[in-house]
Amino acid sequence: MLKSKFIALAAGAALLTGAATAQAADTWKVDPAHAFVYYKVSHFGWSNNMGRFNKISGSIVFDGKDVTTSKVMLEIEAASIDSAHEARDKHLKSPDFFNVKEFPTIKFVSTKVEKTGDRTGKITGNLTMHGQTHEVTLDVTWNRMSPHFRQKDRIHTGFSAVAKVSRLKWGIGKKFPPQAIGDEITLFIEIEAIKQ
Amino acid sequence: MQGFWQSPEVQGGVVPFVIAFVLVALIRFGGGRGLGARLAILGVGIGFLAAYYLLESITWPAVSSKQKVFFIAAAFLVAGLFFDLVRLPAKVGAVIGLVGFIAALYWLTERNLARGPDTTLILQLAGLAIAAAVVFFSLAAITPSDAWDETGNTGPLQAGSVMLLVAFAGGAVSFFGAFIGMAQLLIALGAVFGAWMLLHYLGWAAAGAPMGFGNLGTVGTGGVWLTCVAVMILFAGSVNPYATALLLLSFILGVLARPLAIGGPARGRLLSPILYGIVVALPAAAAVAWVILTAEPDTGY
Repeated sequence: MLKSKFIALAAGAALLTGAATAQAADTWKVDPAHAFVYYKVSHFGWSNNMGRFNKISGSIVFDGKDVTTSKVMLEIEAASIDSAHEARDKHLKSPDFFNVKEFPTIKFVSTKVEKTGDRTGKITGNLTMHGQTHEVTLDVTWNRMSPHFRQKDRIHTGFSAVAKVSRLKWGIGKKFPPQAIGDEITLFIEIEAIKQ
Repeated sequence: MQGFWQSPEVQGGVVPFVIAFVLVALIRFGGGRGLGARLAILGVGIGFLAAYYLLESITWPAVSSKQKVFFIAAAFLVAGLFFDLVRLPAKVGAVIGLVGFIAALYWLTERNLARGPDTTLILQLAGLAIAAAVVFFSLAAITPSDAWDETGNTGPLQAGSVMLLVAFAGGAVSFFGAFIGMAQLLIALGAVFGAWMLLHYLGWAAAGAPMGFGNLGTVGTGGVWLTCVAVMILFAGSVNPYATALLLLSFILGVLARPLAIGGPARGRLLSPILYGIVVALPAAAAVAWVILTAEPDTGY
């Protein structure tokens, strides 16, 4: 009986150690098929205009033992903006807004990670967009980490994040006053990443 | 009241027109028939720069191509002024202007060029360099006189007609290409040329005494227009490049239609610039009609 209990304890410890080892400073690659960046912005106060960016890539270095040392890098193809309206998309890509030919990539690189709860935190980093770089803080929830249901050797994890940015701070759409197109843009980010 | 002064129509139309009108008149009458007439077009350049400041404000260091337009435009105007003050022949100014425009193209696209070979970009740059040659040498050909007193010379009035038409037409092409910012700047350029043309035509009609165009006009204002068009073509993917290229025909027609300007009896002096303007307006009108007719229906997004 003692022997079987010892074996069970050892197995449990091994599992826990294994899990901790999997979390210690591992590199995760963002899964582009399961990465979503949506935005919401006021349109004359009548409603919120919503759209998304369709091409996202990036990497996460996630340290389960000390999440504050984790690093996040996300890249978004600016020309992948999609507001479900062709004429508006053309205008959004033009120099009046995102100027995608000159600034094709939107990039976020984290500089600080703070833990605020068991699975929540704040990630602060530099957002480079439209040729300008400013600091942004994301409110992040770590959702889950587990093996893929079919490919057990593939470990997946996922995060949800929300952030608010000022488009005028990045010089986007300066011709259009905040009364017409809101200055505050709310970003909704859903990311899945696969352990490398 | 504050809203009135902040409206783009006032900042990009009324204010630059008034600034150009006042400055052109001051320089012309203050400077006299020689120097004043030659340099009065400086009012056009300053009016444009004022419009840019009101519409865009000035940012240094300039990050985006649109922010660089102000500095490139100012450089062309300063160069044109210097060339006129040292009495550089217009054709020589045109050559230097072309070299300067190629350098400006590099500055505008250095970020894109640094990303690696891009055939489309190279072809666009080559096309713009050719366009610059057409613009500078056409304007120099329309205004071949390097004399300070251009009494009886219709060249400056003709060149001003071309610039006014291609500025407004370029603004329309940019507007329908979903680049409202550049549309405003080009329309502002048209507005300031409107002021110059108004004073010029009145002086021409009254006494056959025009104002000069010179290097300030050819290199200065020609360079301003080319810079705006370059940013339009290079960075606004929805702008119709073929309609924009049609505008070059206005410059070419401006040279070919010179014999229409007969100057002489009073009626001819009044009518010939108008007839000339109608002819050179044809390609510009065609470009505008093209972009209007091919524009997507306005769904008011």
